[in-house]
Amino acid sequence: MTAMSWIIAGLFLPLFPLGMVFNVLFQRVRNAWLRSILLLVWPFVGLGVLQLMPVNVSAEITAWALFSAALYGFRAVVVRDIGVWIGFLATSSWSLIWIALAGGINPDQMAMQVLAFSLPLVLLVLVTAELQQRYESAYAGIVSGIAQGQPRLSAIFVISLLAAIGSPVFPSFFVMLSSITNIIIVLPAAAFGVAVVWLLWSWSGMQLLQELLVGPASAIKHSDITPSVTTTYTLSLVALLVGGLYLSGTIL
Amino acid sequence: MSLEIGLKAQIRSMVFVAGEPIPNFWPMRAFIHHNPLHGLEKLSFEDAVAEGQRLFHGNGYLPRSMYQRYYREDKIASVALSDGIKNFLSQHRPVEGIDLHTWLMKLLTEFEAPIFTQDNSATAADIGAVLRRETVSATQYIDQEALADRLCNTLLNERPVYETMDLLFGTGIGEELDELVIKSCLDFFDEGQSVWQMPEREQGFFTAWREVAQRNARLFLRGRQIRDTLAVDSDPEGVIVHVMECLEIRQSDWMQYFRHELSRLHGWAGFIRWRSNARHYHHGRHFPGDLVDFLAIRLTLALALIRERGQDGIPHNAGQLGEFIRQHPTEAWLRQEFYDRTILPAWAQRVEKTLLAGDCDRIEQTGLMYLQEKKSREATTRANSLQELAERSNARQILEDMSDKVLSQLIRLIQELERREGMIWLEAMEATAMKQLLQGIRTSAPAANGKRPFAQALFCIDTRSERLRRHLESVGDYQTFGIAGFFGVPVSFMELGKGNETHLCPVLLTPKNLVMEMSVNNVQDTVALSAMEKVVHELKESVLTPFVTVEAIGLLFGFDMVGKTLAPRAYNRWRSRLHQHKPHTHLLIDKLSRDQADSIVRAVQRAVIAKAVEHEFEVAPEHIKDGLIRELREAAMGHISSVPLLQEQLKLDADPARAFIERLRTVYRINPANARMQMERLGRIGFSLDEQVVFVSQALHAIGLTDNFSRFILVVGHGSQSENNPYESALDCGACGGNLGLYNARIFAHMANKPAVRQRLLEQGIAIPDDAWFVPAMHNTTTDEVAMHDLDLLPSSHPVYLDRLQSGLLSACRLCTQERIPSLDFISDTPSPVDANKQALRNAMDWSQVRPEWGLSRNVYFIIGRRFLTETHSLDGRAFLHSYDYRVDKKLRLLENILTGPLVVGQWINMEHYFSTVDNEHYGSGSKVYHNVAGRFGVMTGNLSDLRTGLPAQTVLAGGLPYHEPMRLITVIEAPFAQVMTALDRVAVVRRLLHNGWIRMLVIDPVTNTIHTYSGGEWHEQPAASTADKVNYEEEIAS
Repeated sequence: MTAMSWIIAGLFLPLFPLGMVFNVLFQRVRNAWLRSILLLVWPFVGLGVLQLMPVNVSAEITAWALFSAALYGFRAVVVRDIGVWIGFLATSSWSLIWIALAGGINPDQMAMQVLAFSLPLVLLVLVTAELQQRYESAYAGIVSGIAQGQPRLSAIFVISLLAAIGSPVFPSFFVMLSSITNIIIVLPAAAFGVAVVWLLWSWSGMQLLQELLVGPASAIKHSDITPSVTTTYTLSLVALLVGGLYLSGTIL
Repeated sequence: MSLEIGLKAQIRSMVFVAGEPIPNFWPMRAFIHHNPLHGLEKLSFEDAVAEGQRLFHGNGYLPRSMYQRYYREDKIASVALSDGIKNFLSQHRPVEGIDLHTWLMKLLTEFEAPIFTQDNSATAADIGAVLRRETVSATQYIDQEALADRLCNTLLNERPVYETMDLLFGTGIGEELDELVIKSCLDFFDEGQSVWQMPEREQGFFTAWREVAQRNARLFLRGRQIRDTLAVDSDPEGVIVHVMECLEIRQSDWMQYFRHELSRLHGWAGFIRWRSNARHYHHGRHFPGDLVDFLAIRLTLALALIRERGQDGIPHNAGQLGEFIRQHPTEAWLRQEFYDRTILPAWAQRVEKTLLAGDCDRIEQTGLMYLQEKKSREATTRANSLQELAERSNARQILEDMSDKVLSQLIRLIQELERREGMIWLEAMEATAMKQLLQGIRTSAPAANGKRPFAQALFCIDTRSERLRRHLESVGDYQTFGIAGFFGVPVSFMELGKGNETHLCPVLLTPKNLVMEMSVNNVQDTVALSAMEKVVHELKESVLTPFVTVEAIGLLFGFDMVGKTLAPRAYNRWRSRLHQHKPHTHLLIDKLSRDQADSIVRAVQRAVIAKAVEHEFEVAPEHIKDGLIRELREAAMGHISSVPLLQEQLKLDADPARAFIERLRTVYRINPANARMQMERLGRIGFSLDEQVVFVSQALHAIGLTDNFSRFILVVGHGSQSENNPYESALDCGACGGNLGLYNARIFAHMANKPAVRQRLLEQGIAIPDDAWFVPAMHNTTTDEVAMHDLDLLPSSHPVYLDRLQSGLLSACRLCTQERIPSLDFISDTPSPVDANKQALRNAMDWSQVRPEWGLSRNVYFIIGRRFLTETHSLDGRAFLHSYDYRVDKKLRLLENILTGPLVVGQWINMEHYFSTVDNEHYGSGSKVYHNVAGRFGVMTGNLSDLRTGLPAQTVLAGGLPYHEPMRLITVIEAPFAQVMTALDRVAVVRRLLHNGWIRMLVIDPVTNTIHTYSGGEWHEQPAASTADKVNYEEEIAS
């Protein structure tokens, strides 16, 4: 594998500091649909490179990937803008693909793993856009008390965020679980590191929820999402749940 | 460092003055309704509300949308609102070419929210430009000096240093400091909730805390050096001075600074303030603590946190912060916008990045752009609102042609109206309520029929009595009276089995007399279940045992939970059978003679000595002879020096015998000093005959019951019944200090039934016939049941009539519940009396019920006068009804007493409900669902918060909207106007309340048949409405 291939792979399956490129780009792009496309396409470019030029992931790369995931995960803890947070969570989660590779994952399953990370984030981008449409921004703390003002939107937002941070029984939960179980024998320290990254996601996610859902509501009254839009999002979440169960092997 | 006495006294007096606006907080065991702005009552209502907003951040009025809802429901009459606006306009210059009255009416009734907020980035010229469809002028530069002045004014003046740091640098000190202070308070003030107590609490709050804090590893590890501060002085005053000097606060600002510090946790500060002044309070006497201690602890911790954060290069005292603002006003402003969360949401991310980058030029540039954006948006929003207002007022074109000067005048006028609109709405709402009351009230007395009623009943003035009184009067020949629920008898009461005294009277009074409850049954063993409950309770409270307890007996609690939740009535009935019932008791009401008191002391001493011999020498009770006890008592009291019987019977040598006598003196307190003290205490027990005559005579005169006594005169105290409710006491009788009113009823009835008292009353012209009997009763306000007590004392001639009386009470109870339940629990619009009664019983026993009853919610009227005034008019449980007959009050003493006591308590209750409704988060206590009991004297929200004062949301709100209609107490007095004026002149506190607008007042003069209303600082006279007027008004409302 050439140096350029490494750089391209490290850019699209982000390794520090190359992950900054995605984050800068993601922050610049404000359109929700473009952001969604970015989230879906970006890691697949990296996967494509790896499939074209298969690599043996060394212990150093594993450690670097884990460090990158932890770093972006930790960065997400101090971020309050949900758009920015999604970017950091994406880079943190995609870095873990390298760990999965080190655990000897079947390349056919790679795409499923990437989708398991990206799809909840896409949903979250769309829900966040609903929030931005009403409040001009989705900056937790500046925007607060949405549970009171927009209960339907809040419920969808909470579940989408839980899906994104790998809560049971969403797809990313099973991906994280399999990452840990696959490497716990060969690289127990790495398995512990993955668990810590997972914890960082939860910590950052809960902080956002806390600041966004409760607290003083906006003096200006904003509308909630309509029941039909709620249904659409609910169906998407159900689809994610089914996907999660599929990944777990419960349904085939 | 040790401060001079003068400076110490100065600090103490500053803290005393600083704490004045902080409302007292009483322990919730006896919840006292109070005005959260009681300390500001010297100000007018409007000014006090503004000051309350500044200190406690609480709103003093409902939002406009809520008043608009009342307006639509005719609870605010259009004409009353219009009058308010006219009055407002009369104080301002007219705006050329505009029908201001129409504009302002439209603004208040059709715009859901104020159109001019406090932001003032956009000028009239900017708004005018938008109205003329021109571009808002670009901001070329920021006037740094003006901005710095404004920021210094808002960020530094009187504001604690850490608050400024939090606002400028997001340091989060305030929140952390509050947490640390609350933990310290919980440790010290705990009243038995914790298993491990804080050491050395007897030394006082500051000293005990100081000892612990110096060893607090957590504070030390996080670099919070509090030892240096504590080493400065051992007294709290010295520490306070040191911290204030370190923070570079000017001495002239100290008092205001202290006030802000105290108001941040005003629940805790209010509790400590009350506690330090409550001389009778057991915990306060043993573990002293006051606001000076509290402030010293707070400032010590604050300084530690400020210094810790200051290590990051953040300015950390008033001088440094002032310098920072002067040098970087734009940055300070952007920081304030960002950390105060007032920034435009779309700019949050950008401003955060800019501030993090720290580039001065970029900050200036971003600040300028942000200001321009804010100005444009504000101008556009305001212009659009004004345009809409003009259109709705049919004056569309006028704004476009308006000069900036006139526009500026219009904007100022609207801003002023929106600043004062709460008061305008409130006055309009009160005017409507007054008018509605006057339409229903009867101003002329019906002719007396002279017939003796079957029964008379004295009820508490509590609003919940109004319904029951009305229904009782409707079911038969009953006559009812209203009197403060302690029946004019202030008493300190010691309940059977309790070691402490409870004051059964309004908190304004301090009772002199003590009444004890004595069992007349044999002493019973504690039943097995009670013992088991005690064991389980101790297991739960211990530090380690809960882990085991859950595993071992957790399932039992599950059974209890299922029973309480699914079938509360049946389960509680079954469970109550397992408990030991309270034995039949008598009250020690009559004063003891010296011989009687001496005899009691001797009897107690003998009993203690018998127990001591039994325990110390393991002698069976039957072997302890009277002679031995007598000898031991004499020896312990120092009357004899040898104890031959003791030595002989217990085969003791001289030394052990002397040692035992010494133990009797010291451990068992059988000594002359203690005997004297017991004699003094016994001297407090009971009332002398003179006192009894005074109390009974005064009460009967006050309510005008001086003749035509019935066979039964019920004396009805009240209390509530609920499960799992820390606020239960708030539903009990306020006139009895937040306790049950039954004991006062029993005491009063006992006095009034006493022949010697009646004989003396006869001399005063009150002839109570021999067949008239006062029967104490208890009104359970949750279920509306009325249970009569002390029926064993009833004369033999009366039981034959009991059935009829009980039947009347039952009917009234059911009708009352039927009327009340639909507003409480939706079971049906028109539930049957039986169903309503069942629901009420369930509410009383259901542990998951957060609203067992509405309590005093919706109170608005306080009516002092004869019953005929409102006899035919349903007041819907909204009125305090105090019976008063001006004809028997020639000297006006009775009216003065009513104004001084019951009316003031009524005003406290009213204000508590008012403020808890208009801002439940700040003046109320939020939702009960999140409450946790703190230290057994208060509640907190979650596991750590300020003590929640005020009423919970479930008491005053329904579905998030006010159930209580917040208005100031409308007091109605039926008496000649001149007499009322004389009485008011004599009662300064009520006069001040009236003149400062804390209560509203109407006087119905039965002599001249006129009504006098106090409004706008003067009395307005009008003739009492005729029947025809009332019909017209009802038609007007209907249309």
